[in-house]
Amino acid sequence: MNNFFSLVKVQFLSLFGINKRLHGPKGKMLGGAAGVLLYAVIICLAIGYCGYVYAEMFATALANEGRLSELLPIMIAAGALISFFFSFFATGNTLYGFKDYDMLAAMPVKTSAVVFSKLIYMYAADFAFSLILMVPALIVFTNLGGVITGTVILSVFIMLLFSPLLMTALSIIIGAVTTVISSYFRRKNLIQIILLLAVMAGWLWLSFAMSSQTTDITAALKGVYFVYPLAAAGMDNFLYMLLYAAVNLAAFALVSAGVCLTYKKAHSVITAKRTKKDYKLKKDYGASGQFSSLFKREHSRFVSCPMYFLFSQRLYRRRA
Amino acid sequence: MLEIKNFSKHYGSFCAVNNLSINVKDGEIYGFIGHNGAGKSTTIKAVVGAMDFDGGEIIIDGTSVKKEPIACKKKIAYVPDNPDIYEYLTGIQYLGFVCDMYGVSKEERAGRINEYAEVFQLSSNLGDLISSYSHGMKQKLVLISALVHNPKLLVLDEPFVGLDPIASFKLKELMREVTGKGGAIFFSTHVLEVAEKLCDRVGIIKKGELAFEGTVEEVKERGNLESLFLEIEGNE
Repeated sequence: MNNFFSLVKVQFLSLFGINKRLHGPKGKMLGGAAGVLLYAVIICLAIGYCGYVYAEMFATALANEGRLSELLPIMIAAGALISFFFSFFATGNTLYGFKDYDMLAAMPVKTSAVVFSKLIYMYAADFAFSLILMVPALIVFTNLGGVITGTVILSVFIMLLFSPLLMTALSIIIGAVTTVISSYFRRKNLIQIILLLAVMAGWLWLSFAMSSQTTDITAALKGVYFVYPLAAAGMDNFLYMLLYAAVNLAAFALVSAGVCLTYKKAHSVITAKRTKKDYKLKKDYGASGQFSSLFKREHSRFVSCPMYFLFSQRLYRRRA
Repeated sequence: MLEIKNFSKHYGSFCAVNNLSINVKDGEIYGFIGHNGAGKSTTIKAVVGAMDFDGGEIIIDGTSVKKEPIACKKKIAYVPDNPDIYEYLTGIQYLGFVCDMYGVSKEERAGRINEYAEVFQLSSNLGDLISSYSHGMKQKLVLISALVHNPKLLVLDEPFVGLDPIASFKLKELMREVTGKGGAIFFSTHVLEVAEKLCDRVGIIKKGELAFEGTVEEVKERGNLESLFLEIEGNE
């Protein structure tokens, strides 16, 4: 158990570069404990602002239909869906193929403890994100006349605590399967990018479908509840809350157990490196100028890593 | 101390290591040599329990790696060829983490960390982030973390890469100290002169199979380790 907590502690020290800021060179901007605190506040405010804008958009439409009480489960659904998106990518880098695997695997700690520490880290990051989103949602809810009762607080707390579990579990299943499948291909990163584009396309379709229905909130809600049916039952039913917790917990427990049992074999397949050894030397390798050579290198890098592809896309769109 | 019996590992249809058997006795330094892609790292990863294997058995101090992996790992220290360690931690935080993993008591760890940090001249850098370390400094840190819990078997994958001459000398001394106390060392290296001076026995692996095994004296009867290695590599 002590080993497990040591593993979790080491994982969390990497979150948002906390330890690097605490122990980095003195005098560096945003360094030290005060810098870490300021950095955390900035991130929370940025995410919270996005959550506020999103919540207000939904809240206004819901209040007009007399369905303001559905704002909170919708925001929990939104947080859960975003958690799914980021956990999907974290699976490839955090869960499988992490650089320190050999070192950790050689230590006297069970593989299940190593894997579970990574899963807890993924869950905690998703939970923190959902929590930051919910605070502005509660403010918007109150501003538009919603009443915060003890039942609402308890329901929000339970849903927040358990909602990342199912999404993390789903993203792990899909992420693990795609990571293993893509490892059999030579261009494995390209396969992951194609899958990333498919997920993004699905997300965009859903967003457009919902935004086109904003004049009809019932249709928009149907879309949300279709993707995240657990949010449909509302927050007044205590038995539903128990069922909600049980479903999320069971899903996470099953997936965690499955990952732990299959981890070594899956990791062995993913990280196996083999060369084809079929290259034939040529008499002419061509030549390029400096600029075109640098451009080709950037292009290769662009498709070499799904995360690099994702963030480069964002830069291109912002510039346009 | 280390018995590798008929060890085999396949990646799909490709056979990385085939029917390998090696025996490293207590107090012995065993050099494991081979060309790139010969199967050295595969063998080493299987020994330290970082990789499953298809056939054979690996026994460490009488305990099977497959049946009792945790018990085996408590006796081993592993130094990988590429020290990819937690760059966001400081050196001392990393050593504390390793000591926690191996259950080194508070009283013991202070003495050992201080001793080995002085030996490798890394004391003043332990408070710095590992991301600021050079490759050699990372290698030193990993070596300290390997020695700090008094392992019975040291498994080192190219441990001299990146070390300055003083650190290399100190490492050789420490290796002799470990074996002098009854421990054993199983290490791979491409630096054949070091292997010839340091090892009691050497094994040369070629395309997943043991092509030669013998004492350093037996190697010298055939010239030197370099000429033997080239002879083996040249024979198809």
